[in-house]
Amino acid sequence: MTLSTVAITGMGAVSALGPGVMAQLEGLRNGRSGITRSTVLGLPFPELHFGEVPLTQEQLARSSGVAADRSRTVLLGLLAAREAMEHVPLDRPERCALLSASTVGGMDRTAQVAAAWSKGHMQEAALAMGHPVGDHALHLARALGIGGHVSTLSTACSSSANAILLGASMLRAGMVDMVLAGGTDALSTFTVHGFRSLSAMDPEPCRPFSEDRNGMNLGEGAAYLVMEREVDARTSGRTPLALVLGAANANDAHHQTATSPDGAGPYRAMSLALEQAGLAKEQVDMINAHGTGTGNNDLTEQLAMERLFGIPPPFVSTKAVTGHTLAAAGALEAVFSVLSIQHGFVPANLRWSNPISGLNAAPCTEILRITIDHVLSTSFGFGGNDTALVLSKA
Amino acid sequence: MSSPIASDRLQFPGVDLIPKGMSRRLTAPLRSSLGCALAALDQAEITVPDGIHYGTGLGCLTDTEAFIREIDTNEGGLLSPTSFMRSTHNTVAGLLALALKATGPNLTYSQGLFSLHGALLSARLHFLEDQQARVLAGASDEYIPLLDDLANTLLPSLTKVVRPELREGAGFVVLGSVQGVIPVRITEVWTGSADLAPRVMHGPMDLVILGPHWPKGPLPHSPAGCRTIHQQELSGVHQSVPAQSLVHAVDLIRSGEVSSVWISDREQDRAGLIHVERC
Repeated sequence: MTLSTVAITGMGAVSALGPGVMAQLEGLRNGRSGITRSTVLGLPFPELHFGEVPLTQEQLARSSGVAADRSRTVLLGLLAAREAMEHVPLDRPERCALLSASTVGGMDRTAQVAAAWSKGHMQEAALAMGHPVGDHALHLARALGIGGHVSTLSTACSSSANAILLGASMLRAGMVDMVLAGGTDALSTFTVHGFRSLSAMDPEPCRPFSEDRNGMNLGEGAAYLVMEREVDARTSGRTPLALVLGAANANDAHHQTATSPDGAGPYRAMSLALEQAGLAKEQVDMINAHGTGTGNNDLTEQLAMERLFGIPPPFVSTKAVTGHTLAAAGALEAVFSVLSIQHGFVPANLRWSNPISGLNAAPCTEILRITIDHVLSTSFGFGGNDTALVLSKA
Repeated sequence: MSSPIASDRLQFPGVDLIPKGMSRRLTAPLRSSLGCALAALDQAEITVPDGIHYGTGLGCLTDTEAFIREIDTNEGGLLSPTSFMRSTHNTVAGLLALALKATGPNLTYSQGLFSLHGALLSARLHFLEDQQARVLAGASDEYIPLLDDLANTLLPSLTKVVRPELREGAGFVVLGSVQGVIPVRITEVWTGSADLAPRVMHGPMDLVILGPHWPKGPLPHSPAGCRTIHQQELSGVHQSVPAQSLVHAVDLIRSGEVSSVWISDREQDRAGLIHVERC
């Protein structure tokens, strides 16, 4: 432990596996999938599969303690953030930062009326107040009594991984004493239409890293982690759940939505994260991969892994379980990584059948029980935004 | 640094610095934001920044609205993905990385009026970890007529004469941890509860630049002799006004008019402060 080591002392999560960290653990340990056709939200294109949180708006509102007419992004965020902070006292609110992440914001509500607005029919105009992606963070900060810096990162699918990265940096720099970092995104018709327009969605449950993969399943969820300097946590009697040993962000600078053919950006992010953590590649016990199930991502990501590791350690995409939760993915998968460390298992990469043509490795297709000291967790977003985190046993 | 004051898109600097192939395919506001950023880099004689730290309150509104219209008119069919791809908040930062082949850290913040503050804090952390870095930091926001329609609906008691004009704008600076040709430094970037702001503002204060929503007149606790500028009278109202305030402050310090400037922004119960001074 050094003065600058960053510890995780609280976690909260909600996904297609249900509400709460224990629901995530139970689902992952039993190889369960939360991917179904839309049953809660009545999303368009009934043939598609999604990772819906199995709670209605009213149920979420009751769990979150707010009105049901709030954006689902806010409700999911509140549920996860409250769980994370449940056992962590907020001694100095002005020294605690909230670093959140979202791409959808209030679009789950405004998408339903925005077309009418554009034609001059201004019904439900008040929904616009909750539209900005940063609005949810204000709700969370007020609900939890966080008085310090509040900021929302929005770098598409790497957003909440970047929130964790930024939080670790702020703690090491002594700018704050505590950070609640994470992200939240609800399913919305806007993103369903958007990813469908990119021909990026598999109508069937997705098959990450499989040769016959055919795209992603959109999901929704939220996850937050409480982070402190390890020395402060232990002094206060709080046992770290895990450590954030390394974090790096790099830009692929190749295309707005596709990764470069050789996976340069992902390779760079992973390498820099390991360098910051002071780890040799042989010390990585597991990779929680981005693994969306699209042709481009899984090919380039596995290329980057094989370029860096030769033979990669056991790797898995948990998006086959939860769907792609967009801005929440980085934090949700960081929670999964901590669970892997705590309970000594690699979750199964569901529905895999054959290796990607031209590549050698296969993901972990059965639950693997091993000692895990270090996990590399990756998240890659539109705009070539590539982030890697190193999470380690405390 | 580079900051167009008016929302007349023809006057935005640096648009000719955008690669032609890219420029043709962009909306006018995206071209303006990119041009502004590239102009700042050009002025600093930097080809590739070590990092890009960007803020936007509402993101790419033009493309977002375009995709919503596309959904409405073509629901059920396969839609064109271009507007959707550009609707993400990190589009400007991503396009800059593409145009410049900038592979360093690239972070986008969206927190209303405090989006720039997130970007500046991020830039500061970048320097702490790489003291040789030179980074691009800034913010931009777009205007679409729908914003006026919503404001007129939500604030019917205010006419345009009373309600400040909604506009758009951008402001970018190139930052390094070592003094360059511009003898100005940023010494404080802070956001938090509005009631804590007076405790943060201290030291010499020649000028305070107030952002949108401040009432007319000087800041209540500013010292005697301290000037006050209401930036919205120059920029109109949009969520990246702090970025234009920052560039304005740097301009005034360079001209010798002032030595120490506080930029103060307020939104609901939260406040943001930036302090800029002559080196």
